[in-house]
Amino acid sequence: MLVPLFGFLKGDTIGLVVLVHDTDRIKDLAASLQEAASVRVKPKTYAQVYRHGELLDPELTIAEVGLSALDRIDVIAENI
Amino acid sequence: MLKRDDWLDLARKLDWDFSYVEEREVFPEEISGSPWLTAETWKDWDEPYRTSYTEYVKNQSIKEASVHAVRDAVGKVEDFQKHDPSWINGLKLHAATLALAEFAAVVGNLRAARFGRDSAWRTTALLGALDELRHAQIPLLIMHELVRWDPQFDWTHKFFHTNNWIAIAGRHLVDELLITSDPMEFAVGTNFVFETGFTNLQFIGLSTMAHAAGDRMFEKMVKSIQTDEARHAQIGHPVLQKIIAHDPKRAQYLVDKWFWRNWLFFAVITGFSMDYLTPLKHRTQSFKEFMQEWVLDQFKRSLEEMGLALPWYWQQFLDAIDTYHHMVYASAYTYRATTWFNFALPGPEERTWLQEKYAKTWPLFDPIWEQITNRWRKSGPGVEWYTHGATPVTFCNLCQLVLCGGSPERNSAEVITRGARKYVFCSKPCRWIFESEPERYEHHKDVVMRILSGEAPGNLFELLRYFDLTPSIWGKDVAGGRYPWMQLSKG
Amino acid sequence: MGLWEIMTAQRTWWHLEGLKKKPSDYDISTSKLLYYTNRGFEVHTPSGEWLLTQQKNCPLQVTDWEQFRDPRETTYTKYTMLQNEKEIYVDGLLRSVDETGYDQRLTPQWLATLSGILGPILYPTHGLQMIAAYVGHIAPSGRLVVTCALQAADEMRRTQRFAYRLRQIQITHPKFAQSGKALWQEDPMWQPMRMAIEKLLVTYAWGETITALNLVLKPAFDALFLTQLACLAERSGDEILTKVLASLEEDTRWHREWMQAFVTFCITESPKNAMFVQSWIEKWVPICDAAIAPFLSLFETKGASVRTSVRQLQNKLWREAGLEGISA
Repeated sequence: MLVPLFGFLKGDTIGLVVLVHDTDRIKDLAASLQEAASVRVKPKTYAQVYRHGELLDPELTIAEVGLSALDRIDVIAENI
Repeated sequence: MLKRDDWLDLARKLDWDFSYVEEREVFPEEISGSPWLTAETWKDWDEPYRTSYTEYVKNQSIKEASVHAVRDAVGKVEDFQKHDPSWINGLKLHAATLALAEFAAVVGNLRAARFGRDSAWRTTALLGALDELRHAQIPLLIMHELVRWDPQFDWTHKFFHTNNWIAIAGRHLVDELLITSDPMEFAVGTNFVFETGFTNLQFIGLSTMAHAAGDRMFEKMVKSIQTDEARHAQIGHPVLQKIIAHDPKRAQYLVDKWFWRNWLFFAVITGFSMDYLTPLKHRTQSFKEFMQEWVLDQFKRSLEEMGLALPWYWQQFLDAIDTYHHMVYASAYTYRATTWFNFALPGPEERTWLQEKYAKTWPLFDPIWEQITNRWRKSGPGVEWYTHGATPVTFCNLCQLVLCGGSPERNSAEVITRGARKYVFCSKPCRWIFESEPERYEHHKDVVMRILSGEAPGNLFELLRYFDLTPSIWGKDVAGGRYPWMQLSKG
Repeated sequence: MGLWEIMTAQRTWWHLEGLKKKPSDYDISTSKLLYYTNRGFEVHTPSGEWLLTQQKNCPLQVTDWEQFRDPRETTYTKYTMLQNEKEIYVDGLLRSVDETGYDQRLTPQWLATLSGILGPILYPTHGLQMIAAYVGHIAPSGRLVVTCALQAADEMRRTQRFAYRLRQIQITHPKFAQSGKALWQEDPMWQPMRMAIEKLLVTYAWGETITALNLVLKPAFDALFLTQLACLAERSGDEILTKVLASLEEDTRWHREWMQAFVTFCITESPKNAMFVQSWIEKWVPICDAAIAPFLSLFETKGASVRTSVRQLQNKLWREAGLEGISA
């Protein structure tokens, strides 16, 4: 199932709609958002995904962490 | 001849006591406004300009002759071709959001000319309706000349008729503020907040820049329009005073709501022009400086005089002056094909200027322009798509503008659930406005909802068509990425 | 060069491209000014719902309201220039009153008659202004919004010119027209007119409102208080007022012209519209007749029936618009 999420990448100026499968992993979500924002924000090597301040396990899937359509997620990326 | 004050009140104070119908039938609350007060309460209503019809047609015909003289002298395509391309594109943005919105204000003023609760108010509102007709027709007549040179000017008329996302946001504001507000809300939102609170930005700020840019036509148009606004804006104050006297909570609500909604509008329209689309050499002050000098102090003072508090979100608003229009501009630049005007890429000199003007926040934005510039360098000039986003963006369920609240550090968007639907807002004030009167807003379908429900296409190229854009119209970089400095700094 | 380069063969607004002639200033600045008529509003407010409901429920329906045109093609520029000329002329007339001791020569009998008109009449003319503004705000075509707004402004002109003249006379005759509001509210002569104005103020179905206003009540009101009053003033030796009224009458001639064009347009679009307009006329004629009845004797002269001439004017207007007349 496709799940549209409101994604906010730290350093970016706008929220984007990230479309992911519920079987995708959190780290894939981070990569998608970084890619979608890459015109403005240079993608970085390491990214963490948060929901309401709670850090999500990058290896879990969208369904496993219970993200549903039009939830807000925040991605903080850095080079390490 | 008699002096105006010797006779005019005879023609201004003409309310009478109804015998054959009820007062509430003549002024139903749903269309006259709340709180509903008796005629007795309104009878001392007055405004200071007290213009007579004779003076009106005399002054206005002179002003019309003067605008037309400037149009004949410097309103030709050749005259516009001389201007800097970025300035021309600021003009396209303004023109599109001006003409039909002013006509919407004709409707709002006519409602007040019928349902305003005092005859002097109705009379001033009727002159206001005529003024707004003027403000619709002037840009239509001036910009029409330019369509054959640059079809993007067609949006001077077309804009509000389209499904373009900015038009949806524009209508969401204009519908509520100008066409469908009752005369009391209109007096607060339009006359008090918009016309007395914000239009100095246009009048002083933009006309100063138009002067500096040598655009006499635009300067003349803005100044001439402002002299009309100054007159009919006088309706706001005395109506607001009545609301304060009888329902202070509502008065505060209306002021807070409309200050925020108008702020977002001006931040985009005027913020873009002042800090990005006016050529650097013609800039006199930054958008922030203009806001501080011409909006903030005056607005604070008038609230204080009326015994109202500053809006509860004041600190957020002050923070937003440093960020919001920068957030939207950088985002819109990278989605420029979704608009009808072209965008300037700030170069090293512009970025230095922005750094000076926005010392605290610009460091958050500079890397974004660095990234965009690098991508231009990689693609070479003319390759618009490499510095253009392809993923759908998100829209606030109140203002319908993109989610560009807060700062790059932390976006201020908030998601809430109501019934079976989730709503997202760019900011707390937008959420608060929505939740204060959900019946007004909750049915509305934003662009994302339209995409998800299949009403609008998800693919960007198809979405552009849904936005009524074609290749000759959609926004591009003003220079197609051919900036002399880009080559220089590369080496 | 390519997709991103700007090229244009466009010469006018998107919606005027099919026009066979060069668009006039009227075409450019009055067409398709209302963007909401087909799409509705983005927000739901009580006033907005009111507007849409009245538009939807109006029996008058046409395929495209945009096709209506004001025969005078009035733009804002044209209007202010035209009206300014008229006001300069009227100012000249009124100035001559001050310069020549004119008001001292007005007869007591005429002053008594005029006193009973100029005082109260400001109220119904303001009412006519409100009603025109109402139709203007609800009208489904931008051009109709414009004609109504300018008509309302003309009513303001009339009210203010009456008020000015009233005060001017009071300088010489301080007791002149001191009780306008009381007369308007209590004088039996004015009550049927007041009832008509009040009832029309709460007639919110805009098709009926504009019909009752511009096809029934105003032609009669204007005939009495502009044309007939001008004749009476002339007979009473008040030639200045005659000229002022003639200038105001010019405005109302345009009101009838554009209204006639509007009705003709509606009927051409759909013959059913004639039926509705006709039924509203029939409803409002008795109300209007009652409203003007108390004034008829004031304006009568031997051998000329004012009632007949008013009906003739109405009938001419209706017939020229493609409607049926009513016998006097």
